[in-house]
Amino acid sequence: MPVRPLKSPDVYDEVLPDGGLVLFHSQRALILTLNRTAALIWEYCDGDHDVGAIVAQLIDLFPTAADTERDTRSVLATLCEAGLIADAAPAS
Amino acid sequence: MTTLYDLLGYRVAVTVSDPADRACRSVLANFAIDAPGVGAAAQSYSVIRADDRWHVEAGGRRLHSVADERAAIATLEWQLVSDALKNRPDLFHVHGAALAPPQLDGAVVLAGAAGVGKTTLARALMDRGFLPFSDDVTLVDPLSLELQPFPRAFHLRETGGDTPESPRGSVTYFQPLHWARAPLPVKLILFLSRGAEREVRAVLLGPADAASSLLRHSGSLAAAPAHALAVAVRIIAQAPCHRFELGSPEASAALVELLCAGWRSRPLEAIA
Repeated sequence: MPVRPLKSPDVYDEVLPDGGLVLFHSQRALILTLNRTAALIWEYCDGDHDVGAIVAQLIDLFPTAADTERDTRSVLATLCEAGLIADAAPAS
Repeated sequence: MTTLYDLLGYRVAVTVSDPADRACRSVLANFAIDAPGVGAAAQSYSVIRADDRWHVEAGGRRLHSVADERAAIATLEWQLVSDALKNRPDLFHVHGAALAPPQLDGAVVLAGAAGVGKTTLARALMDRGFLPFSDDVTLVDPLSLELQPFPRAFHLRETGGDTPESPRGSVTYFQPLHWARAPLPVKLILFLSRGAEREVRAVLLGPADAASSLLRHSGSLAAAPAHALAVAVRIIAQAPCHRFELGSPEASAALVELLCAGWRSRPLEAIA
């Protein structure tokens, strides 16, 4: 799991009509779709937010949802396994 | 004899040795243009016989060598279409056939893997008055989201499959008498598969499945990913997409007709 997730530069994304996302990893020829919540997590993978900050953002957005931290980490793990995100370079 | 063709604005001059010339002109007939000389051609292709082999050349460079004239014509046709598509990266390309119902009020795309039955269903629909836009290569204008006529002869593959001698398998052609000649909006996309029950069935797909299915059948994704994703999402927002399990050609064609009637029963804003 990356500490500060960052989208791979090889990944292209586009918003779906229902607010989800379709992703394409050009090097792996991989197509993946995300629902609206996972799409929010994806947007936070900017290299500035660490995993804890992303989880905090999601809890803030969905305060009544159960297992937000577990679900967020699960989405990040899936994105990482698929090569869609990596760890941002350490801040200097 | 040299003949001039226009494929999506890609003008080519093709010279074919006898006895393949006549058959080649028949296969490419829909792209022939009545223009004297070859000066306007962007590229020259030739099919020549030498050393008991048939050779396909472009600009004097040998691209393919095959055993017989039938394979040579199939290879030339495939090369021309491939080069024409490279020349038009702006068009969104889907592997599949496309047809317009007799009312000419929209277009349905039949996407699917090679051999699944696209051409068989397309022919059953033609028997019901549908007009084909294209076979195998379906092209959508990225701005208007309209199907572009591409009257390529329908391919009827025979058994044999891919071999170095005949990379596209053994092919015969079917030329429909009538084609859709004007662009029409995409209003329905069907991803064909063979159901276990052999009973025809259509299942409406949500945006995520529709987008990923369309992109998996697109020839534009690798060449221009950002463009392809953006166009695909606009297309699925406009046209309902179904997983379509094929039954008999007649039953499948009847269900396609029913789905096409569905877009007439809804106002356009409900489709968009």
